[in-house]
Amino acid sequence: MTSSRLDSGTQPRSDGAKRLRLTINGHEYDVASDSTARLLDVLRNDLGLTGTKEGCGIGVCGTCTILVDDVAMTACLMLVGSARGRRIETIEGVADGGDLHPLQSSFVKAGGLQCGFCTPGQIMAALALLRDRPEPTDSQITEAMLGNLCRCTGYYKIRDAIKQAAAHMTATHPYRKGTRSA
Amino acid sequence: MDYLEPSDLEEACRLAAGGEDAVVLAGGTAVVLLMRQHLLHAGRLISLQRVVGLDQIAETSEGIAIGALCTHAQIAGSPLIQQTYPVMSRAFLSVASPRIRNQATIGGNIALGDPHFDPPVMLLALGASLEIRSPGGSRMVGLHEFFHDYYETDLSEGDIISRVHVPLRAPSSGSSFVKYMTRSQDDYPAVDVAVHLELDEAFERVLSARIALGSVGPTPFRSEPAEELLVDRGMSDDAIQVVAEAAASSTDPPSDVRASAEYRRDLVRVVVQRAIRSAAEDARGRAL
Repeated sequence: MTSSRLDSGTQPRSDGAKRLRLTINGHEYDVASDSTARLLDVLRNDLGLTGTKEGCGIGVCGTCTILVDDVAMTACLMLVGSARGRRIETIEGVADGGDLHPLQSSFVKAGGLQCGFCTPGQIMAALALLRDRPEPTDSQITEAMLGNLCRCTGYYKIRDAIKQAAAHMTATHPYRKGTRSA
Repeated sequence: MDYLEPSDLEEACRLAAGGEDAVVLAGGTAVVLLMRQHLLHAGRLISLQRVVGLDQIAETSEGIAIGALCTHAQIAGSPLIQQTYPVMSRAFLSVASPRIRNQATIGGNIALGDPHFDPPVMLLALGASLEIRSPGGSRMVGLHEFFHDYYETDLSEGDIISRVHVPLRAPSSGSSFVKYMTRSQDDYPAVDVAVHLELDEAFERVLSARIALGSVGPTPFRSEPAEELLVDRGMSDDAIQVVAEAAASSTDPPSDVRASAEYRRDLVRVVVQRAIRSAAEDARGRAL
């Protein structure tokens, strides 16, 4: 790849063949990647973070859902250049070492998964929801999870899992109530 | 492929003017998808991400100015828009899925010129216009003059939409937006209808009307024959039916997996009537 690299300031920067610095799950990564690679490919192929799945590849199915600055986004429709300087979170950063996140435990308990392929995306979408609304209503859950497709569970158990996690999280961390709600 | 990140708009326009294969990148959802599908070839991508000042929604003396980099989610959640045009907030909330709304921008949506998209239909009804920057200048274009054909717009090389201007809301005015979907909730519509009416103080006479349609032709558009009829004839059931017939005849709908051309025309006939009534209710509700 060629690039007419110019310096910063008001000049445009071109990072064709440069190393990119990304912040993922609180860690800094230096990646030898073209800015025009898809973030999903960089996560999976360059960094080995294969928890983020590719389903449809056209932004419809939600399996590649990640958080960018706390907001759910689609890794298959994002170039890695657009991810630079932003806080990326993937499913690999959700558990605390060996301890599952309450959302992960409740998906297991409520049977919110069967084959598991869509689950990383479901968890990330749910995580974004609960940060925004610690005690979501059923319709808020339905709205927030729209476009995260699951071909196994029939969705009710996913909704139940999110409700259980919300109840657990607000009970154990009551100070989180109402934070960041819109 | 070059990836350029200019930090001001003038520079971005200059870079975008640098050849046919220069493509402007905002939220990326459409550009990345089209490149993946080999429908779009880019030799250089000009990312607007570092351009400052295009992600604000501001009240102006003439209405609301929306920066082109505002996302659909940001617009739907804006208190200013929720208060002024709650219908517009709902229209932006009806686009795709939460993830896409968090990424996709209003400027990118309009620039693509896709006749299936919802925001242009809503914005046509609200009488929006676009501020377009080009190297060394800028111009205003009414949205109703912006869409030329299937994916063809008023934008030429070096042009970048910088702001979308939505006019002030007139007293006794109301809007509606109906997205009629035949498949899933995150699909494109079979038919989109948006209406904006300005009524007299008694809410009886129609002073002005804008009736916008989407997914029923090569571009989103306003049905001027229907608008004129509505102003002349008013809002009796019979009159509204005549208006809806006129709207249906002004369409040139495609047949696809969502609906046949014939069904789309039928839908326009029905949905336009609902949308007119709903816009009138919005006007009355606002007065209470």
